Amino acid sequence: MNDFQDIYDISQSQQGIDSLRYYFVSKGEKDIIKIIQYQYVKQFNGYPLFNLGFGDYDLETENLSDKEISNNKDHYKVLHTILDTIPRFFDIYGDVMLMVQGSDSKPEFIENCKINCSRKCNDNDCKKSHRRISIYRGFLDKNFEVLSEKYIFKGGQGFEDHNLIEGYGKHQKYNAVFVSKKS
Amino acid sequence: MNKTENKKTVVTVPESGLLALVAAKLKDAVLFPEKLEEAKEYLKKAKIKTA
Repeated sequence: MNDFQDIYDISQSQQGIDSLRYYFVSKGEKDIIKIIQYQYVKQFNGYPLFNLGFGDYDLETENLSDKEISNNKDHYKVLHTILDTIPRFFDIYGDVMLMVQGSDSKPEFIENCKINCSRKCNDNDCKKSHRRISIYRGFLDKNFEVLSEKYIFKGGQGFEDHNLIEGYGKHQKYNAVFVSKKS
Repeated sequence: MNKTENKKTVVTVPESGLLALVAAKLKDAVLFPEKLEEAKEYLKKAKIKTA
């Protein structure tokens, strides 16, 4: 995940032992400060589990949001920059598990979307939801064999009363992806 | 009458300096607290499928 040619320069900042942050500036219509955060959540399935957070920071308002869709037309460069930090994260923390979710996969997102959306989606099929995790899944599906040489992937599916985590299967509609490094 | 002028000065900061400034500003801030809670909730309901 660190063979990308076109990525942004990043700045690293470690916050104690349970948080690692990367900062970069997305260039396009306007400059946007982006923050990637790896935050320790809890011990899970024998691993210290970290969550990947990502969002835009507005220096003037001091607002940090993971809901923005910026129009800098650099989404591949941004995605590759985020993915490039994953091996760096594992180099620092080693034998840990990483969890990736999208902020548009929550039930509240779908509820809020219904209020303003002109599309006539049915209750179980909001077309604007799950787009963020789909980007990660799409990349993983495309590069699964190569990435599996170094990493173990699991996918999480949401059901009414539980979330099922299983060995990653390509083209499944997971709402969370889990990554750990092969020893 | 004294007139106070409020001039805005624009300065150019190198990108690395800007990011260092943001990092310093957010040093003690809790970022994405809702994501952390969502992750905890997700894991609370997690069941692992064994092969």
